[in-house]
Amino acid sequence: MRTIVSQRWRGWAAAALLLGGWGAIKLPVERALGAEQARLRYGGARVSPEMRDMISQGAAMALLSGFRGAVADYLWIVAHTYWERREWFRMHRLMELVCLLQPRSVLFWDMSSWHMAWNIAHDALNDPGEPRLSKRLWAERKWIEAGRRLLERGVENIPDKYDLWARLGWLLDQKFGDHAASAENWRRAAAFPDAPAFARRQVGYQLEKAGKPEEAYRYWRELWAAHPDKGDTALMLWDRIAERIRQLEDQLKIPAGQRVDTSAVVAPKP
Amino acid sequence: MSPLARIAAIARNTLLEALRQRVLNVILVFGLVVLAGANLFSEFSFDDQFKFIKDYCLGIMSLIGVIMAIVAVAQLLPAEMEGRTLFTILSKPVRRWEFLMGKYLGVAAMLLLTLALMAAVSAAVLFAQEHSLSADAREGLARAADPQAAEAARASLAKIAAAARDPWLLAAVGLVTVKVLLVAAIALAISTIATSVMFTVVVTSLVYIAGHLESTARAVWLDPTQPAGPAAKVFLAVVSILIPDLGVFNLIDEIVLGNTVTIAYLLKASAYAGGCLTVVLLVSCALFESREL
Repeated sequence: MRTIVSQRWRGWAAAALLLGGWGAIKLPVERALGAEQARLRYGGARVSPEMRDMISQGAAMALLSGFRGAVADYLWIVAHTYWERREWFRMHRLMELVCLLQPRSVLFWDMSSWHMAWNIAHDALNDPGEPRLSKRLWAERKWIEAGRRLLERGVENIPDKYDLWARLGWLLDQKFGDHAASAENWRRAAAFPDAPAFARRQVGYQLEKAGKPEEAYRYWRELWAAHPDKGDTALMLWDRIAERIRQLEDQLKIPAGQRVDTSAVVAPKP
Repeated sequence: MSPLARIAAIARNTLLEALRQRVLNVILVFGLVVLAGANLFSEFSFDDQFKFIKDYCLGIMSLIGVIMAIVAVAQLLPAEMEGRTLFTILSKPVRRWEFLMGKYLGVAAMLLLTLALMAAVSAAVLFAQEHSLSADAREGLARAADPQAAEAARASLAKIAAAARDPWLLAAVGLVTVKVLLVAAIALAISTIATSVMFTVVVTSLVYIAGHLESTARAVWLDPTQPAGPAAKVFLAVVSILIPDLGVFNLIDEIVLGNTVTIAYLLKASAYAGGCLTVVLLVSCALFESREL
C-alpha cells in the first residue's frame, strides 16, 4: 500500500517539477516571442470588452480561440449585408472593427475607406429623403472625412506597402483637392519597387495641379534622368512625360541649352 | 523486441483503430465537405476571394484538427480500460511510457494523414479558383485595347498566380499541424488523470482557449501596474506557467495577408512548440506511471 502511494506521489512530483522547470524556461522565451511579434506587427488589437459587445457570442468565442482571420472575414461579409441594406452607420462600425481585428490587411483598410469616401458619400449627397442641399453636402463631407481617417490609420499600420499610400494620394486628389498632400503620398507610394508605373507619374501631375511648376519640373527631370534607357515604355508612357517636360520648360522659360532632350521618345504603338 | 519496435507496434494498431472510428470519420468527411465549399466567396474581388478561401481553409483545418485530436485522444485510455486490453498489454513486457508513446504516435499519425488530406482539398480549391479567375483575366488580356489595359490584365494574372501558389501557405499548414499535435499531447496528459472521456474533452477545450489568452494572463501577472489582487495574480501565474502560449502560432494570419514572416521567427516558434510537446509528453508519462490501474 505504502509503495503504491509513494509511487503515485513520485509521478505527481515529477510532473510538477517538469512543469515548474519548463515554466521557468518558457516564460522568457514567450516574452521574447511576444516582443518579436509586436516588433514585426503581427496580430491585431487585443480583444476588448467593447469589441466583444459588438460581435456575437460565437464570433467572440472563435476570436478567443485563435480564429481571428476567419472572424474578420465573417464580419466583413456581415458588413456587406449592411451595405446591401444601406445601413451605413452599422456598416461603418463593423468595418472599423474588422480593420482593428486585422490591421495589417491592406484589403480591409482600402475597401472600407473606399466605401466611406466614395459610395456612402455619394449616396448621402443624393439622399432623396433629405431635401436640404446643405445637409446633404455636410453628410457627404462627413463620410469622405471618415474615409480619410481610415486611410490615415491604415498607413500608420501598413507603412511598408505602397497600396494605402497610393489610395490616400488618390483620395486627397479626388475628394479634397489637396494636391500638395496628394503628391507627397504618391511620392511615398512610388518609392516602393513594386509600385505601379502610374504612381511615379502621379507625383508630377499632382505637383503641377498644386501650382508648383518648378518642383514638378524638377521631379520630371529627375525621373527622366533616372531611366536613361526609357524601358517599359508601354507602362511609363514616356511620351506623356516628355510632353509634360516640354510644356513646363515653355512655362518656366527654361533656356534652350538647359532643356531636356526628349526628341527620341515616341508614343507606344497601341 | 526493442522499446522502439514495441512503440511502433502500438502506434500502428492505434492508427488502424482510429481510422476505423466512425466519429472521427464523420468529423473528417464534414471537414472535407466544408472545405470543398470554400468557392462560395465568388461574389467578392479576387483579392478578397483568395484571402477568404485561405482563412477559411486554414481555419477549418485548425478547427477539425483540434476537434479530432481531442476526441481521438480522449477515447484512448478509457477504451483500453473498458475493453481491458490495457491490462493485457501491460502484463506483457511493455512499459507504461512505451504504451503511452505508442498511443500518442498512432493518433499523431492519424492527425497527420487527416491534415494532409485537408491540405490537399484546400490546394484543390485554390487551384480551381485560380483556374477560374485566370480564365477571366486571360479573356481581358485578349480583349485589351491598349498597352496599359494589356499590362493591367497581365498584372492581374501574375497576382492571381502569386496569391494561389504562395509557398508560405505550406508554413501555415505546418503551424496548424504543430498546434494540433500540441493539443493532442495536452489531451493525452489530461486523459492520464481523467476518469471520463467528457472530462478530457472539456478540460482540453478550456486549456485550448486559455492557451490563446496566456499572453494576456502573463502580461497582467508580470506587470506591477495592472490592478489585480493577490489571488488573481497567483491564478494568472499558474495559468502562465502551466499553459503553453498558443498565440505564438497566430502568424498564420500574417501569412494569409501576404505580410513578411521571418524564417527566424518561424524557427523559434517551432522550437518553442517542440519544447512544449516534449515536456507535455514527459508529464503524461510521469502521471501515467503513477496512475493506479
